[in-house]
Amino acid sequence: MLSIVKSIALNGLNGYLVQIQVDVSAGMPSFEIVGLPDTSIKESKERVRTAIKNSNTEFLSRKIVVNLAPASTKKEGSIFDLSIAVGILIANGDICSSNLENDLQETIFVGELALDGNIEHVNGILPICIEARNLGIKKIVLPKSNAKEASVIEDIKVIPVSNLNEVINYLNGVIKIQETPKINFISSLNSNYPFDFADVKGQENVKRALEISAAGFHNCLLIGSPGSGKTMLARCLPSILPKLNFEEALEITKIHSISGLLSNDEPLVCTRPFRSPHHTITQTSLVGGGKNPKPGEISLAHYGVLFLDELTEFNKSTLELLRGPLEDRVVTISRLNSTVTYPCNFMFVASMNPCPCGYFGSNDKECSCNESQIQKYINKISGPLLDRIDIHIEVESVKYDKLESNSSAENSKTIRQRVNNARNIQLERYKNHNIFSNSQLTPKLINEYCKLSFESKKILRNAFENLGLSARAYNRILKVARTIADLDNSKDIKTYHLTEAIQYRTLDRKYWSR
Amino acid sequence: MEKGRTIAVLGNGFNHIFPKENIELYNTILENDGLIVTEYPPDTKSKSSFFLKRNRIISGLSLGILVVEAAHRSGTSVTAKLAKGQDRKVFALPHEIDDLHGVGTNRLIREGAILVTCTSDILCEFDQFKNFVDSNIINNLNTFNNSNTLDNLIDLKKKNHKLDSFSKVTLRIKENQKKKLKNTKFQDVYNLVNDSPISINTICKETSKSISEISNILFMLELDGYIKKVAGGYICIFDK
Repeated sequence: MLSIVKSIALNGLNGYLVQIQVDVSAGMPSFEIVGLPDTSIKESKERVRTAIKNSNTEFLSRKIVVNLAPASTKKEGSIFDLSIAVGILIANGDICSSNLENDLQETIFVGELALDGNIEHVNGILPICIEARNLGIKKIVLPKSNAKEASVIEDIKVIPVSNLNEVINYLNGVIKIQETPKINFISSLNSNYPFDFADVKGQENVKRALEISAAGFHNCLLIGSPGSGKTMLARCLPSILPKLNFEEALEITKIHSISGLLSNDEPLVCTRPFRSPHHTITQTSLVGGGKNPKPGEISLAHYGVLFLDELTEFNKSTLELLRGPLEDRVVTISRLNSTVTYPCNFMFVASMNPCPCGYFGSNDKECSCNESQIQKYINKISGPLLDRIDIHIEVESVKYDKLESNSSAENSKTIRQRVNNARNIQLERYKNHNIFSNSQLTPKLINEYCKLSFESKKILRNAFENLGLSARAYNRILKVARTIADLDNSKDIKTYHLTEAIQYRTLDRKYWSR
Repeated sequence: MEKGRTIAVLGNGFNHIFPKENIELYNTILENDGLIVTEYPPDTKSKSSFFLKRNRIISGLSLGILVVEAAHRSGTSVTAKLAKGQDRKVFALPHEIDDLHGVGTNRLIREGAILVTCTSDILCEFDQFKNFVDSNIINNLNTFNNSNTLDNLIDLKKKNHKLDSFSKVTLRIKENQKKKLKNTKFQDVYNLVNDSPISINTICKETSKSISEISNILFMLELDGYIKKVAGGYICIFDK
């Protein structure tokens, strides 16, 4: 007898429908899976056979053929275990199919089987659910531990199951399983972030620079001596980033879901990600890759922050990989088996020392490097990469008495309020341009939205001539000035917005000036 | 005094200017009637050992050499030794004793190099330049004779015993020469900027203005040539 059960396979972030066709017939006992399965699917034969046997159901010695249609695309993973088992049980008659006909058309099964019949957690449930909903599927049967994640999606019934017996009884109508209630996005938005700017003493200039970065989604480079608090400041950054909206949260969760990074308590990623990979990171884990391409750190930082601590310690060729993604905001990974595009709209924040010994320009300690050493150190970061960083800020080390003082600093909540306002202004202004922040302005849009008064133009020209700014700074300055004006709730860019923006181009002047 | 001219001595052939960034400098020297000398054939590439060797030509060409900075065991120290051997005069600027860039110069002074604090210290050593000296010395004395300065000096002494009198005097002179602001609006910020770098955060604390306000003021001051951005903060520019 033939049975057809539906499931969904993933290619990158997108899913496609897979039909599991099972035929059980008389003949030499055998169990074949066809339809380009990879090793992990071929192994599921044993899991399915044993799981069925251990669920008080007989696994008949018949000729069993399983086809995964479309048969021409390669499939991987253990998520088809459950659907194959259900298909066999239906074909065997252990699950009564007559009352299911219509239901099966609109149901998908996802889950990995354990030998004892338990149904185990799988990765990538959220993109599967989204694809299922788009395909008009009404019901999804999935592992209990994945239920919360799936319940984010409206218009689809989520049936959590914990073992194969439960599935058999449920499909036979012996038991009823409560569908998982939907999660309200707004209520799950938690604003508890462990780091707060109120905990950082002093460093007003850095806080201001980070506020501007957050408001305009500008990339930012922190330069300072060891122990000046660069990492601490960067860690606080997510606490002032604008709140996520539902679409953004979904997209982040999708990426985290296929990477298996979601926790049970947090089915939907509700805080902007903060990724800080160690500097020994490989190229593949930074941008993504593998035989079946998985997202890398830059995609995991989507809509959040990618923080590279000690930027100069990173492998130079690894850093250069960031150039494309920083510009395009997506990364396309091509491998033999498949080509996948992952989004990577992240805010790039990096920190570095000013020189090899770390104390150039510091008041605490004499720098023991000479000029050529410093130049060499700074040159480890290529011009084109530097070109993509809008804001450079020097972090000075904090004096001990300041650390002890109880003077209260502004907390993240207040700063976030201003950032949110500035971001709303930008969203409103760019609603027809398919961008959301000043950092994404193209040269054409800069001409349109970053108009300068005559006086400002004069000052800018003056600054370029006298301060040795490099030409590449020009557009960056205008973009940052636009953000500062937005923070100030000003329609035009005033002279003092522009002058402040120029101050955030330290590296163009001090280290890179030739 | 007439405008001086530059002589550059290379450690490589003319066809391999090193480092490449210096080609512009090379051209500027030639345009201004300077001289470029090398003992190597045009196609010789530079080697680190060549630079030490060519230093003997530098010292040989000169009446004397002034060592401004020299670390322990640096090329500059070698040049000074060569100059001594060639019977040239060696001058050195004194540094603070814990200054890493001053280890070599301080040692040279101990070994008998001439300590230099102003141009006349050098000119006095050469008969042919002695007639330039008088006016210079008078200029210097004028600064010291200013009774105002002396009073201030005593004040300072009370304030800070650690400073030796030499640095106190230089500090005082510099403050006298700090430029007058045309626009007094920025005076409070400008007053805080002196010859050691001050960070924007410190200014922020002292003036209780916002960071954006201060960076605006600092930028204007810098654009007008009153102050300068250096590593670690801002310093003021003195009148020459």
